[in-house]
Amino acid sequence: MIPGIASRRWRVLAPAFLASAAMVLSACTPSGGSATPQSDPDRPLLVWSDSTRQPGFEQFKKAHPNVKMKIETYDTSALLTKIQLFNRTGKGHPDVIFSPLPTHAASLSSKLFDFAEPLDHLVPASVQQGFGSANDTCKIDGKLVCLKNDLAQSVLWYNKPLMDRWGYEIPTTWQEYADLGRRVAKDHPGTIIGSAGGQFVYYDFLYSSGCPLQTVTGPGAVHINTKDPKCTRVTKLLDPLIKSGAVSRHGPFDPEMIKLSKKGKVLMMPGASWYGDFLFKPAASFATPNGKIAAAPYPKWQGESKNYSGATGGGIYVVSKRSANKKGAAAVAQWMATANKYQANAPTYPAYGPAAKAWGAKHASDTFYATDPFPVLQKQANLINPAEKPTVYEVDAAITSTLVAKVRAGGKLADGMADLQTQLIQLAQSTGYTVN
Amino acid sequence: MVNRLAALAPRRRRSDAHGWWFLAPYLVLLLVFGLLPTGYAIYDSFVVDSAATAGSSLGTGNYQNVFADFRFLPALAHVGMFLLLWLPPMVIGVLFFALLLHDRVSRVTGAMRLIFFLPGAVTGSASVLLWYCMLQPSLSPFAPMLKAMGLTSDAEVFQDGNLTLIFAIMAFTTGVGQWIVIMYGALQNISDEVLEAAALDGCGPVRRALLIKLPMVTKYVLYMVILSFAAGVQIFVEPQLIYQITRSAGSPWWSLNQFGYALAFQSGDFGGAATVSVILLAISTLAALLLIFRTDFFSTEMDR
Repeated sequence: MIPGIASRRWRVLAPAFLASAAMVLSACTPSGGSATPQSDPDRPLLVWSDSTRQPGFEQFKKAHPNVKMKIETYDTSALLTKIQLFNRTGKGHPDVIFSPLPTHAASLSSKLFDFAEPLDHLVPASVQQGFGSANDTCKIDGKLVCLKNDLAQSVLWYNKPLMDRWGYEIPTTWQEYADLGRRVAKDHPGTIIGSAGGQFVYYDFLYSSGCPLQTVTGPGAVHINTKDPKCTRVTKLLDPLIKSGAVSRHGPFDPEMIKLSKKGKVLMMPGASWYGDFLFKPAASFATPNGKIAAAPYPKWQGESKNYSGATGGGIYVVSKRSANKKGAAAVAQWMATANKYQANAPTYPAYGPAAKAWGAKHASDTFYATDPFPVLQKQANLINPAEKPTVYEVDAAITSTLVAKVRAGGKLADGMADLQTQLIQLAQSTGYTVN
Repeated sequence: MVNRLAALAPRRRRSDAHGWWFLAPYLVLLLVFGLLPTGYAIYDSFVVDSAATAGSSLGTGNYQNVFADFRFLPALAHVGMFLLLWLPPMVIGVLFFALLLHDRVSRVTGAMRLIFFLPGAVTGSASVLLWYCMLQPSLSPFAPMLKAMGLTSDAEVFQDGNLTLIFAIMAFTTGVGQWIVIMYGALQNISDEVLEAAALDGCGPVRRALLIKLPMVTKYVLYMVILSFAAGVQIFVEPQLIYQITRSAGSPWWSLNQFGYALAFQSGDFGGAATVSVILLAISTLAALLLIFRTDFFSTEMDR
């Protein structure tokens, strides 16, 4: 192997080489089979959390001193990779995971990751009922594979004093929204009533309209059709508004948008329930003064019976199939998702109905809002469009590189639809879905 | 330098064993953190996991999937364009500045070397953020200049058509400084006698640089091209961060390295990610071999 080296020396070096080789190989050998252990209440639990949810888990630990648990914060973008590695080494899996990405419900329950334990029998039926329709996106192939932590239902955020001063009515249909946009573009050029320059254009407009981009029709099957009237009605509504400047070509978090808002040019913004506390309020973003922002029910499409919302995110709790203490793990997830002690002060709208009420009571006295947004948020919470379901692939990148790229470059949403169709189909097929 | 080594050839045999001892720690690290992972990646790229049966078999399925993937060819094109835009200016720029520094050694030379080196001292990710702030018209101190070019919003700056050029500029500023220092060190090796003789023969500074100095540092230039090419093929930080900041410029799979990352971290497709890594390795290795065997990279004075 090495010319000119004395064999004596090689004998000295060989163990070092071999030991290091063994070290690397042993870490990488896949181990087959995963025994499903019995549930042992004394087994310590390993909890993986993001930094936002960590205080909640700490609260649980304080309230249940007899439960042995270890809380670790992890990098959410590396979750799937880590689970893959654990599957190969056969150990190291956390018992409970909080993930901010709804798509992880689909990934972690898929055969490839084989991680999520169905919770249908681990969480009492009465508790499951308390979620209303919030856990719909946690039902994968008929099994409840996660518990929803928070909801990101879209509502119509608007600047109340401005609407009153200019004498505009709150639109209740998208038709009225378009009329308002035309009037705003004519009477108050530069003022905007929405944004189409970010991936949120999917969640706030296409998802709520029921445009089939992620319509899961069965195990491993998805329906994608950007030519569906439920998609084209969105582009027909928005493209003229974007052209006239009433709907911005920027995303809500762009510096340009922050400038517009500080000039008082944001009249209205269809968007997620967390926009109020995380887009309008913070000093680092819009820094809207108190008593201006209010929420209205989401507009309705012509011919529809319900005014559906979209959903921009919403975190989930997942319990491991390999946990040696599944009952304990499920209890932690259930407490986090439902306990008022944590959820009433949570940063985002709780998915669990009773907890949401407590959260609303806390927010009722918030002087930031012109009127209490909670009743509207509560109504829309049960109106998230059921057409779209999580898939193992994320759609954001396809949305941004087609629709959003077109809009930001000065074009039309409609021009990006064909490319979006191609990209989504390829994404779905590359992750093993059949597209119909 | 090389010819001095050649003169030592007869005495080299005895010092061989000592040489290996000095190399041993490096070899252990190379094996554990270089060769074994590479070998494992090559092995992994031929292990085809099937989501349907949750089993795996050996085959070329990963390669078929990666080549057929809609993200592969655009990423390959992006990386190729980036290399075209970045590598030649980088090599020419480094040589220009190093030769300039070397021509008139004075008290400011050291200071200038430091100034050239400084942009490279800012790590890749930090420099991307720095450049983003400079190119974003709402934040940039150079906003009037950007506006004069008709760029009034970040959407106009960070368009897909401009991205390759922007990444090339970013990579140029971070990479050029360290190579100037290395090249300058190489130029320092040229004996003064040679340069004096050239000057006596009436060789001006430009011809001295191009005809005397440059041929004497060719090997360093090749070395730089090989390493820079390998680094450029693996471009990752610039497109990844710009996409994460703007959420609209580029994509999570703009470059090949990003595509591999997306396969591993978004879809948990280890085989696919390993395959992309192997493809990157193959491209860099081929380019290096081509350069080495097309030039007299390993030849010494004795061979000529």
